[in-house]
Amino acid sequence: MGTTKEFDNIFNECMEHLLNGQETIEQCLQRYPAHAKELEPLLQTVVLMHQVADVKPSAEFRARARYQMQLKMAQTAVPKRVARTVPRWAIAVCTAMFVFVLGGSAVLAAQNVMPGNPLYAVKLTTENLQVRLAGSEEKKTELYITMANRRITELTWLVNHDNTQNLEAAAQRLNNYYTSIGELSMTGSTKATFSASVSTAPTLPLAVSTATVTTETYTTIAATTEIRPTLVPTTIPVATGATGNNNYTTITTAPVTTIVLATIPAPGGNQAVANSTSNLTDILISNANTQPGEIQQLLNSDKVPESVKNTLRQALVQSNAAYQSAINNSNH
Amino acid sequence: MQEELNLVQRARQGDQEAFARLYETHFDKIFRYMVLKIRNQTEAEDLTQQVFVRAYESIGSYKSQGVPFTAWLFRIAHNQMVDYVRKQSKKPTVPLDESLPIMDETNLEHDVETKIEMEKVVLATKQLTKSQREVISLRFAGGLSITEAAKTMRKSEGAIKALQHSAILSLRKTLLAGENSGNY
Repeated sequence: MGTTKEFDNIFNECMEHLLNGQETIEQCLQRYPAHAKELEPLLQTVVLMHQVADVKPSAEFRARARYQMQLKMAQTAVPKRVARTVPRWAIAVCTAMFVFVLGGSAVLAAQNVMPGNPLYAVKLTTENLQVRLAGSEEKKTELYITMANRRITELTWLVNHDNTQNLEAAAQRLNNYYTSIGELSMTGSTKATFSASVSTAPTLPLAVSTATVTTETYTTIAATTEIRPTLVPTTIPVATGATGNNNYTTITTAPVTTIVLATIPAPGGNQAVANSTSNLTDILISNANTQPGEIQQLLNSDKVPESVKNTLRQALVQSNAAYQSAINNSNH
Repeated sequence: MQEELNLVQRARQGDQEAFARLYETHFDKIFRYMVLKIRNQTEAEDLTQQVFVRAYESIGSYKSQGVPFTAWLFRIAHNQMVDYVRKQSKKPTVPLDESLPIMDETNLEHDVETKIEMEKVVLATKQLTKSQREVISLRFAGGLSITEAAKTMRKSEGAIKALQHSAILSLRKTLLAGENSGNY
């Protein structure tokens, strides 16, 4: 056997290859037969240690933590320097040049393409430009809702066509839109109101079984005759507290409002609603009613890989939080 | 790597989207690190959130000079964990059964086995030195490279490799001794 330092390097190299899936223990031992006897038990322990350390946060915790981080960021929002350095007129000029160079027909043609199509990038770019050019936060929220509807339509199309290659990216984009909707509801003029409501909200202890909470559950839409949303306490935790026993975690929550919705989507579906001149609250209510159900349908499909379902579960939780926050603020 | 540098630069200037992307990239790693270090899922969740809140509050003052963002983030995690342990040392200890992560009910049999294995390994890590435990947590739970672990612990890469080797060797011996004595 060589020096200890040399062996440290060999062991580290084998460990890296093993953890990255580049090599098996046997392959490594074959490369270093002189060290095989010493390496083998160590590498077996590495595999065991890797399995033990492979703990994943629950989807519920992930969504709760993300929501709280968004709250934190919204409360201490700092204007983006990047955004300030690009005047709106410059973006408009760039958009015009983009359309001119690419050809207006190509942009129009791209609006109905699905992921995997060469024109799909044009579709996404056009959408992003629309958001950048949106004059108000309300308009941006509308656009994000429209884009979320498009991604859901695309996800359904991809599943129906057994095209799983682009599912993850579409699901991730969907997730991002809900994050943006939630962020928009907590910034700008609505920020102070939201922060005040959080800081003055009383807290109450709430026992939540962490073993039974699943992200597939979402706000039930009640059949009432009210058009405006009714706000009721929900069990979405927003702040963790003391630990409980082995099965239960005591969570201290602010009584977040959830939405009991009763509006019927306008004829023509969500897209028609998003494109209509209805006010933002109506658009939010309509889509808060329909989008979680559509995501749930995707989650129920056997064709959707588990990795994509994890992202969709996050989207489901995110959509509830985002719509709750947005509707709450649009009513102030 | 360059992409992360750009994100960090943007986050330092107040770009929340950039910080959100850094958060998504490192969230699982920090959580795993905390679980392995303190062996209590609920506390690990709280501490993970605190790490990112601290990071968000401090990102404006972060300077990359020789310290990668990952190493900076794990130093925050380490400090949070040390504070937690210091406070906990004044309280009664939590029984191990209650402290291990709650497993997925859909695969209960496998999870029970995993939990037993985890208990064995967690007990074995108690025999390691502080530095050995830190290297194991950073490398396996945090997924840090040798270079990143070295920057986090302010040691040379050679020292990290040596600690890693001695830690795994010690774990192996402890696990074998436990099996032979029937303790596990």
